[in-house]
Amino acid sequence: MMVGDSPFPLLRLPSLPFRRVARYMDIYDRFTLSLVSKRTKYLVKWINQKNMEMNIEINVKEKISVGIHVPHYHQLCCSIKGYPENTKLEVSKWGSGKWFTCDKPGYRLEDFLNHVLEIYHRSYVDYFFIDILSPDMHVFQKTIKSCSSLSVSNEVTDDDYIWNILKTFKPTRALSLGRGIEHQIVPETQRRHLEDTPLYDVSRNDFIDGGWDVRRKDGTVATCTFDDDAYFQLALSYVSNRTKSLVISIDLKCTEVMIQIEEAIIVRIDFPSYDNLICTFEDCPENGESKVHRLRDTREGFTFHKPEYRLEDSLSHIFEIYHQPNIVTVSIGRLLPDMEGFRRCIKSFSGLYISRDLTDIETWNILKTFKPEKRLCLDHIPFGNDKGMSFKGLECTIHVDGGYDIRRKDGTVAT
Amino acid sequence: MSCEEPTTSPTPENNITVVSSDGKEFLLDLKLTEQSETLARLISNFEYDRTDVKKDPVPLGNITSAQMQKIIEWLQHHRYYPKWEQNDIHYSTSFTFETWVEEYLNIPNNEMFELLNAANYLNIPRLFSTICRIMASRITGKSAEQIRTVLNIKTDVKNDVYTGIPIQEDSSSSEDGMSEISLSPSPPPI
Repeated sequence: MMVGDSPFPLLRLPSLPFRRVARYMDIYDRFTLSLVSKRTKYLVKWINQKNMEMNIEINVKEKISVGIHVPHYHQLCCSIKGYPENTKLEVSKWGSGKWFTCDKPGYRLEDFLNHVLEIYHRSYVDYFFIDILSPDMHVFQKTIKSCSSLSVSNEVTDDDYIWNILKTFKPTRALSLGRGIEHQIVPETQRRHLEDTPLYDVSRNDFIDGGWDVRRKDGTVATCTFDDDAYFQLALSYVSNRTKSLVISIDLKCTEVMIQIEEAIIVRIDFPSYDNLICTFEDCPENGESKVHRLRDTREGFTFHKPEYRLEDSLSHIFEIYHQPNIVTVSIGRLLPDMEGFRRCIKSFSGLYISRDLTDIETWNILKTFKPEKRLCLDHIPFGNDKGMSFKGLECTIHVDGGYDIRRKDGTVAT
Repeated sequence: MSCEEPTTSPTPENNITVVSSDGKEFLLDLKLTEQSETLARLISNFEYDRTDVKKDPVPLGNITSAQMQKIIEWLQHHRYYPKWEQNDIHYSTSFTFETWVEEYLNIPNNEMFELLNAANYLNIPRLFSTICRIMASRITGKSAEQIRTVLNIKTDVKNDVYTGIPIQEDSSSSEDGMSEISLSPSPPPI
């Protein structure tokens, strides 16, 4: 450009040269040009960016930002500032340090959103993340018809609001609500069936590979995958019968279940990942309410209360979702009103510990009820003797001087 | 009939005559016309490359003599360059032009505009792409306000006369609309 030269009349160019000039610009410059005037907006829109491979994502956090990603190319970020009184658009180019603020008087949030979608011939966005309550959801309802992937932060807890979000954005491919549940369409080759053994995907540590195929009305199949977090899975299983069968279908395993009957009844569940869950039934059997928390973190927890659930039902529930774990140990410090019912919900157990506080008759009744076959520990030390012995497959640690004769069904007697 | 001759004197067998919009005639070597897809197609259609065919002057109604002079200069310089490959039609962060091209295009904007239109009309891909890339580079990295200044677009917002509220308007007082030149038989592919 020469000194004192008149401006280049770019907008008077025929379509072909204008399109070529625009094509020689990067996405940032092209978007900037679209903001210059209404006319340039239509010209930029006209250069057919429809088929451009790109992702548009909107994040509603402390501020509203629109990210435009072109694979292997550039990323453009438009942040809405001063909403709602004095809405301005800050446009920046990722990694370049280039940015400018565009103040278009009369432009509201929906105008800026429309602007972005319009020049890329879009009525939907690829990803929408909402973290806080938006001041006005109608703004988005006016502009965005749908989105491929919707993610709602766990900060958003209001059911009506979440429902409103779902109605507004109509996610078509993936939905993530708070922590834990992810719903997405997975390719046929990666889809797994209920009878398959779940695999732990190294690349996605947070989620179990597998899940629940859901056939939609339109014939497409979506798969619910699950957070690889025992705490979440147990909570999900309590939600409804459907979610319970859903959790059962992913074939979860635990390494050991320990049931301790003391003042409260405590069920400790150990997992291969060295994670542990503690379920506490405090007012059992009067009240079947259970409190669930992690062993390491008692602050995080939830209370599950289903009026019709008794202790036995809760235990059966746990055994069912973990597919009858191999190692179950029971430690009894007091008798329950219905020991028979309690025994019935445990199909097999590997160890029985009986407290010293129980009387001989109580201990005898427990032994009659449970009939231990693998391991028995009688923590009863009336005579101060401590002796361990093992015979006929029943490993006994009997802390008494002497013992109890146990007559088995097959006629053999163990002591 | 005046006749501008390129540096190498073409013989009657291997040249054609083109006439600019202001009536000036230019004798062009057929080798040079290969760079213009418009002329090359015209020569092929009328079989002007055959010695036994009578060659009528080709009127170029959209090209002035000054533009034609400039274009012939370009064609002469790139006479022995390999055929232009249309493989750089997208944004590139790094591109350079040879010194000759920079000097050649060190012209006022209005001349650049006319030259771009002429290159578009004659379909000379190398010249067309070069000018387009230079024009794109002048906008690169600028904010919307700076682009307004560079392109002399006044504003597209004015207050509503009744309410005083800013309303959007397609302004650009200096922009009279897209000029319509669509005579190229086959525009360069994009």
